Amino acid sequence: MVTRMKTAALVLLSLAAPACYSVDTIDPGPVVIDDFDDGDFVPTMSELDYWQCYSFNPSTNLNFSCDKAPGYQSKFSLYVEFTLDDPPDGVQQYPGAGLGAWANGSTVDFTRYHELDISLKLQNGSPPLPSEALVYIELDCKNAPGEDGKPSNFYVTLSVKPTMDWSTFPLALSNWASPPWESAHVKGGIPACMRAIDGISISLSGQLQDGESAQGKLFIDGLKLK
Amino acid sequence: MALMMVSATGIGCFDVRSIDAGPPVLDDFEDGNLTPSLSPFNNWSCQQFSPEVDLDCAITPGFDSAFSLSASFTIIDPPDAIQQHGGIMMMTFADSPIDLTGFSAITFAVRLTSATTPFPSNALMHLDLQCSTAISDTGAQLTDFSVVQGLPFSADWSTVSLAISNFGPAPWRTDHIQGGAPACLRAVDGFLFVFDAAIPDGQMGGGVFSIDNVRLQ
Repeated sequence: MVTRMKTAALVLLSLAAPACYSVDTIDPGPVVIDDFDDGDFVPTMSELDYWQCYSFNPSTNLNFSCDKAPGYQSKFSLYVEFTLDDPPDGVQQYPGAGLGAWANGSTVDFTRYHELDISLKLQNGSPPLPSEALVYIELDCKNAPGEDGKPSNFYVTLSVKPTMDWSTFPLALSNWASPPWESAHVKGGIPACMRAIDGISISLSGQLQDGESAQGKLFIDGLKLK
Repeated sequence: MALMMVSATGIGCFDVRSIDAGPPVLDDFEDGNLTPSLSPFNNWSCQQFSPEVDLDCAITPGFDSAFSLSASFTIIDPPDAIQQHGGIMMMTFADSPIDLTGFSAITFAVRLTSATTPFPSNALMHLDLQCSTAISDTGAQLTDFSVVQGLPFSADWSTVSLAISNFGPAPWRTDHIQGGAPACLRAVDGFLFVFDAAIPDGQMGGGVFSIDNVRLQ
């Protein structure tokens, strides 16, 4: 009986009430990739496994380490400390080091967002890095199919000029692109890569000239998507 | 008389089907000059960079066609412990921009022959689409801004198709365009075919860079 009365009331309400619905989309707010404030090396974004540090050009360079440090207006950040060498052979090798986190089989659709924010700080060692040093923020889509149908470790990238003090960079996702030194391309273009992100890495490229060496420490904090 | 009768009595039937003129041609060089087929682009020019030297563009035998565009170059990297990344580009610019967002790809034939030893494996070829009216995300006017895409090349002619959706800002640019790659693609006023020869410090290299049959699809 009670149920019948409730049903009747609902029917009356639905007949009498004007059909008003709010169709506004609700902004879920920023999605934190990691703010490091839990003091561990596991990203807040659950699709990513754990933070690792690395060197490149050559990847056999073992002069790097990473750990947590005081953050940018927060408890913790993450850093990689490195020594880079460009052997004197007439060719710029573009050595560097970085921090990255990769997914274990899952992907994240970044096309739902319009911006990636990151805070960075670069601390020079001795010898210092050239003023041309760049930080590349790379988004991997290594399982996205290429134009030939096969995945090929694809990624899109963008660079920022690091500063000696903390700076926050709000970076529009529409500015990421495949680097021109990759002549194979994702089928469906940059949006197809953005729909299947399975890793993020932040790489310091020292931009050393042939025969130069440098030391430094790159700090990252406050990675989030908007 | 018979024709007049037909025209006077015949029903007015006309075939109004549109004829597909094919993809717009930026230039196939078959007219044997340096003026692109696509308006409003101006004459092709050729230039060496790092150091900057104006080169003569040449109309040469084409890829399965009468003509293509070529430029010969020699790059000397002085022995100063700095790799200059000298190279060559062939380019055309427009006085007003065109919108490429309605196209899916740019196709062309390309060939790069080496005069002496092969170029290093990290030599880089890319097509740059310039948008000189681009504004940065801070509101400032950007200088020489392009979206770029790398491409494979060889000493034989090959046909390349570059998807418009894969063009994006060069990663070495730390200034970023407001509106991202689509904003640049909506206002393209330059096509630049670029080859960075990656000549090691203190060495030299050279060759001939050729393109043909540049089309929008």
